[in-house]
Amino acid sequence: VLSPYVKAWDNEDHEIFTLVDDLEASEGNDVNFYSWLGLEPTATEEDINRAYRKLSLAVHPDKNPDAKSKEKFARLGRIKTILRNPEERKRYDFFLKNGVPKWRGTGYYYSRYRPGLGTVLIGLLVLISF
Amino acid sequence: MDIEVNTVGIDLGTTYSCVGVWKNDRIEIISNEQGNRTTPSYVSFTDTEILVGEVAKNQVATNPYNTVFDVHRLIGRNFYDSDFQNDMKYWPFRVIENNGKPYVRARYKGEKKDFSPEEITSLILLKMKDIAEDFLGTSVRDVVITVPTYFNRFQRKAIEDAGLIAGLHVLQTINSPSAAAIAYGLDRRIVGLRNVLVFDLGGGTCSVSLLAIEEGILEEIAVAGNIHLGGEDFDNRLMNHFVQEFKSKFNRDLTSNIRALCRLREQCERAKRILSASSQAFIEIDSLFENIDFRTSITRTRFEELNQDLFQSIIEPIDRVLRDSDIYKSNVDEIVLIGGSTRIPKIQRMISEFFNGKELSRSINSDEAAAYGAAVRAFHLTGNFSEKIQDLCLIEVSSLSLGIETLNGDMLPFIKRNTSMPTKKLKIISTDFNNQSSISIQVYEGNNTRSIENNFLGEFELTGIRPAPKGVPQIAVTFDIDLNGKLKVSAVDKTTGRMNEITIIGGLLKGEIERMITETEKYREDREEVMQKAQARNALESYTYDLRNVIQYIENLKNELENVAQDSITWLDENQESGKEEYEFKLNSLEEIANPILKKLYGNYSDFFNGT
Repeated sequence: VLSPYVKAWDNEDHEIFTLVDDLEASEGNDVNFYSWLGLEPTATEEDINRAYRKLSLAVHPDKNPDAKSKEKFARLGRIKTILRNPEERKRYDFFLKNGVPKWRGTGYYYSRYRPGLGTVLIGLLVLISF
Repeated sequence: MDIEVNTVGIDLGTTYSCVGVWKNDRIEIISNEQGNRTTPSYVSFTDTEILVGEVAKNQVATNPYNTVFDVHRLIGRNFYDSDFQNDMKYWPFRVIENNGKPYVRARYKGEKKDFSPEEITSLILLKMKDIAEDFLGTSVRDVVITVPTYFNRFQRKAIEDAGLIAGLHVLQTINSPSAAAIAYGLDRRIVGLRNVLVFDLGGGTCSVSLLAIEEGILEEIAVAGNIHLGGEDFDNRLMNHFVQEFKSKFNRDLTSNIRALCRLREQCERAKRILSASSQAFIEIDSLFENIDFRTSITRTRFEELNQDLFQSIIEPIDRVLRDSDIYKSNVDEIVLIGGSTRIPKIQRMISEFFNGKELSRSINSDEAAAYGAAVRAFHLTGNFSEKIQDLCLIEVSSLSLGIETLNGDMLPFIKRNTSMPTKKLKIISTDFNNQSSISIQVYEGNNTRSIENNFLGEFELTGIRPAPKGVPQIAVTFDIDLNGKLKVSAVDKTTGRMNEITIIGGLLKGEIERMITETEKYREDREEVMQKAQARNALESYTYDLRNVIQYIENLKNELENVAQDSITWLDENQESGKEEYEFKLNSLEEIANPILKKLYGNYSDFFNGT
């Protein structure tokens, strides 16, 4: 029963979801790919390139030795890749307009929340006791 | 006392290396003891010591079996690689297999000894370190070393290990064209955005980078290269040509005589250089083989013809970076050529023609630009500040894709080539069979779609997958490259939460490195010993010869005295009865001549011993 849901989003979609979540967690809920780069969704490729380099200078781990900057820079690199690729950019624009889905298949939630051994045992106990 | 530690940049080349340092707010390219700004990447083992650089290169013909070069084609390679087996045919030195890795077997101090490519490289790095330290008068520790763009992780790691063995801390390995781009960007103070294509054709490798340079920010858009194309290959073609010629002229096979081949190779390299400036080069080698003098010539056209296919293959990586970066030829603003082989007119012409006759940028020193940029980078990475490099930021990309092998042997890329680093990428994979309980993750690096053609980095197993139809279990695989280029691959079973991971390190084991450090120190001591011995010998020798000179000098003075005395005696014999005044006058003039001579005889001879 689950598999149709699981198959509903592919790897590229999942990557966008993860990036959106990570970006919001790090920069604030109202930040999207464009606004992080200081751009409008109508930005040209040239604008994106320029803004990417500008932001790189600010977050590049060479300049910022803290652990967070590496994550940030890696995120920036992936966002750039998506926005520079017309097809992937279209995909992101779709989610930007319609919102990212809440239900993303079981796997997605496992990657966010993984029950510990205790929780599983208690869960099992509850199940068995019925 | 506070020891000033300086950081340097080393352009480590297949055939020549170069070292630079940031000093007094500018880059200084440092000359070696022969006064040359590039040093041959040659190591020669003798009965007493290890020679590196010019002296080693001069040994090639006299000590062919123990003189090692082309180390870029040895390092991080697999002995059984077919390319590698082919390279081996051209080397006069002996290469043996050790755990799948190539080692050099040489005779050192009268004994057979095996050297890892890392050790050989470390000796070259040590030489460059010495050159820098002599110049700076301080010790050098931190270094940025250039590498060809298509060096894989193991090759880059091997270079780092070689640095460690040489007592250096490798801050970073940097793609050589990008290092040159730093030099270029710094020199020009680029205003606005420029797309710069840097083409590096050296002794053994070809590297291409396309960078977007805007103010101080350098973004590698795409890189490509050919790990096996350079001046050495052109030399080899020339060599084959002359071997054939020798055969048809004299009906003798040169290849049976290594020494003759080495002498011929030297002349081929020389001829190749001459052909960059003139249209014909002459080769004259006395008693090359069985007392036959070899005199011949080659024209530039013939040379170009011999290398036709090799020259043609330089276009492929240029074309690739353009395709990968989606940048049109016409949008490339500058074409910068570095590396000795870009002096070949035909290559310049081909590149210019490829870009529809575009003018090539010649403002940069093609031999030194990479070392220059590496030195800037080293200075920058150690947290130093200068107004000139205030906004310097280098965004680097991976040159080779990283991925895992799928069931049918295809490569499933996670991190595609030309992805900016550091980076992280997650993909969900699944099982290939029903009720499959474990999955093997095999990590590969390379741009081929078939994993077997790529570089195998490592593998691990994820077990305990719950029985399920194929394709149902969800395994999240993450590739994570950190700032230092270290790759971590992890796999998590989303159902059970089981995970396993591998960190790809490669390179030598810690113990091996330590052993090599100790041995390198020993070579150093050997060298020190030999140098001190030579110095002591020189001192004795020059004192002895000085002494001989003094004796000769005394001899000359004595002869002079003898002559005046003899003259005086003759005069006395002839003038038995002269007046008092006359005798007195004669005595005076005799004293005038003799006294200065006597003074010299009894004075000190310090004039002779100057400088000993």
